[in-house]
Amino acid sequence: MYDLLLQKLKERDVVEKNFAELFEAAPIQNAKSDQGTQNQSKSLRKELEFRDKKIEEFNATLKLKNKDAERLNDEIITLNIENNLLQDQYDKMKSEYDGIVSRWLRKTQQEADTMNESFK
Amino acid sequence: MDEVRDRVWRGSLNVRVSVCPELLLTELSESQDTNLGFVNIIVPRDCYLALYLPNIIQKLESQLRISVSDYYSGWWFEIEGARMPWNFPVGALYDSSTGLNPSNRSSLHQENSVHVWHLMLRHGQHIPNGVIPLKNGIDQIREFWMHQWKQACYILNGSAKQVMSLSKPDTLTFWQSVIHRDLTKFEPIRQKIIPMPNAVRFIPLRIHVALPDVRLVEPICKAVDNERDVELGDVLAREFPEWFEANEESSNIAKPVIQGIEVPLSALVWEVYQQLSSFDGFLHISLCLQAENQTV
Repeated sequence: MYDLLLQKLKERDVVEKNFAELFEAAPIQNAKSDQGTQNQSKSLRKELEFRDKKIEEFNATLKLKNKDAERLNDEIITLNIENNLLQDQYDKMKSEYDGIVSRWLRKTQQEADTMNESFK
Repeated sequence: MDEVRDRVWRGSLNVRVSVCPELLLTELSESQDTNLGFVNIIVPRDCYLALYLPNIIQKLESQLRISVSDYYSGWWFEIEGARMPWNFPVGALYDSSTGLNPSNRSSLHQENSVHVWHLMLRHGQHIPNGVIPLKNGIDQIREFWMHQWKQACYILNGSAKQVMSLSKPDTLTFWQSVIHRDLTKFEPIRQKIIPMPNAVRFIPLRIHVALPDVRLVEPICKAVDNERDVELGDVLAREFPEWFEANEESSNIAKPVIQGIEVPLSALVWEVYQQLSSFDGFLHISLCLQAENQTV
């Protein structure tokens, strides 16, 4: 079994390590000792990060405002519909009312006429 | 020094780590220069990928649009859009995530072919599920690794005493040997933890399954059962009866891959553990499913 495993490991290494010299053998570093010394552009990156955050915030506000505008638009449409409905109802009532008034006038005219007749 | 152990320890992968384009400076991400935004490094199979984060990030730092304040926190790797946990040995991750079929790969290999594993480096506030957040840098990795050994030791010996009672210099040397890739210092300490063959309670196994979904199986496995040495096929047939049939190697639709090599099902688990176990004290097995026409 030992020889078989060894044989297979050798085959594996032939495949996996072919041209391995093209890749860099990187040491594992302890980050603490290497942190942030040579980087002169650090402050610029900070600025960029700050701006990025600002943009993100503005985007969020814009999104919120868009949503608000959409909601207001919806509200306008609803109110418009409601207004139309009420207008219709008003027109109907008005014609009904006009009818009643004219009927009443006709009736009183009739009454007046009969009374006049009886005087004669 | 045992040659198999030596090869297991020295096994390495050629890795190309590319940075997620969103993290690159706009000027660079829009340029046509294809030599930007990645590093090519060799990563040992028997170590954690996260240990290489500082090295990778330092090389790429000048091309990033973010200012790097921490080389560990907020970073993670992805492979083809799927997050890659760091808490398993690189080799085990590679074997399971690529569904490595060693015999297929060997047959396709040519003298001038280069084997490269492509990973993507990402950064963000919200680390995806399944990736342990690194808040305390390399110390956290060291502690995690020691806990792995405590677990492995408990499974092997029935108590974590062997690890807990390691002297301070030994513990330090143990970790340093991983960092400096020094097998001659690692092996004696490992031997202190691993019991004699007749005192083994259970064997620390981890089986990585990538299909149909990614999961980790940690079976209970004795070295000797009913006065018979347990074979790899016995454990797999018990855990995955649909894929492995005991004693019928020919009809199996999956095969166990350990350290990038195919291990026969008739191999004794304890023997394989001693030879091929990883630097965290576990034997990581990944299952490679083969299409029907590949079944040998």
